[in-house]
Amino acid sequence: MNQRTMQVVGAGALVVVVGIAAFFIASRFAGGDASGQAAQETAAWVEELRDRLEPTIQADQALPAARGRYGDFVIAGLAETEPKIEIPCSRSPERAVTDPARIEQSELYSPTFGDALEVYDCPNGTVNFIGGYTQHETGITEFARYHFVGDAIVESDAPRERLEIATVGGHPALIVRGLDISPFPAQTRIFVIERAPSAQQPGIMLVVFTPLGVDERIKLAEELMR
Amino acid sequence: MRRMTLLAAAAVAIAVTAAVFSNDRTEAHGQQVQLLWMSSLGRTVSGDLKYCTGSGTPVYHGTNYMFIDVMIGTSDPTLCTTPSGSGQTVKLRTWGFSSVYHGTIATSSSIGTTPSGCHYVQLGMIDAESLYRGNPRFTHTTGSVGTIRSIYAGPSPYGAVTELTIGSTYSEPSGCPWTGQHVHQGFADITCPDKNGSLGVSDRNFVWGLYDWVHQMNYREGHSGC
Repeated sequence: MNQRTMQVVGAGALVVVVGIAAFFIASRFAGGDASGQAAQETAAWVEELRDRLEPTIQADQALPAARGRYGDFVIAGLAETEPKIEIPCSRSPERAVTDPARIEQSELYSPTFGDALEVYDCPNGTVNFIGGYTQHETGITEFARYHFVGDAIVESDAPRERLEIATVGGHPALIVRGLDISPFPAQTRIFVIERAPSAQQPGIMLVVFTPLGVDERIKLAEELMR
Repeated sequence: MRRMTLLAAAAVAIAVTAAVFSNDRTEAHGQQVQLLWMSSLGRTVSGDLKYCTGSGTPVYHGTNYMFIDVMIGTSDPTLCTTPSGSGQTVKLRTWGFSSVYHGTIATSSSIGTTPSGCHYVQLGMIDAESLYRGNPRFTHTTGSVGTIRSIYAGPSPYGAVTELTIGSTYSEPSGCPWTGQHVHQGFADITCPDKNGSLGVSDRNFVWGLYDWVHQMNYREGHSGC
């Protein structure tokens, strides 16, 4: 094989190898950004879904988000600069409580909570937060019961039209309905002031986030207060 | 000399190709290998991998579309104790591994707080067959309430990538137990209910690696084993 042939073969091999490398590297990035190829591949059904649901979303977003006092609650936005509910002490991973005896002794505990709980206490040993979840055929309900002081501040971006003042188990409650854009499920958030804070003791708030229907979710909230 | 240069360039190209190719082939045909990778990395993934079967064993069949969360710009996410700012982009990413199946997935997004006071962007997912596929939730993240968007998954036997920006990191105020800048992706799945808080932590700096995913599901064949 003469030198010229070697050069041709070598150059050809290099082209093939570089081509293969380029193919595989390109394949890793083939999807690109959602605004690129993905947009081109958007199926018609997504467009139809968008056309059907977008008016509902736009109409909801056009309404002003509820702010300020509403019944026993104060509605605030989600931004970092907005007021947040005050708690007796900071929740931190270092203060996670795992001892079942201590959890069950807390006034925040209910046997209806189940076992998979997230619990925190204050430096003085008082449990200040118990959270968990329950599973249903139609989804998952999250709940928490915790101490708070000051106003019962609820962070929400919902307009007043999706808020409802109610009574749950004899306590003042705020129901924040999720936007109904089926087939995406709407999640309802229920906030119940089980005990208003006083100079002597913190308040108790129960929150329930659930995809359940109206009757079921109220019933569940009442069960969680037992 | 010129021949040597050509040979060296070819060798480098072959090495790059082999590295990329072997990586993809391993992941495309060996899910178990991925799990070992993740286990060896000490990631918080055990909860994510148990969601699908009663025995705690993930079952994957056929095509897998893998959804991961990625945070860009993290400093020390594993500690989760030092607030390091906010505003880093959070993306939903699909990896499609298939030579046949592919699809456009529709998402809607909502924002809110968990019962423990952590801020999130939550997506609703509807797959290419118009089936509701649950709610990936990105905790410690904020964003705007989304309109209906789409993200394309696959096909590519080598891992086609698609990204969709869904929000930005949120430096949590007091209340949320975790204040450091990091992101979780949880999953509330009505077809396979499990703990909504089964979370992994994305702690990579925009690395193109499959060890970065924290949730995986089969969008084509459902959850056999549930």
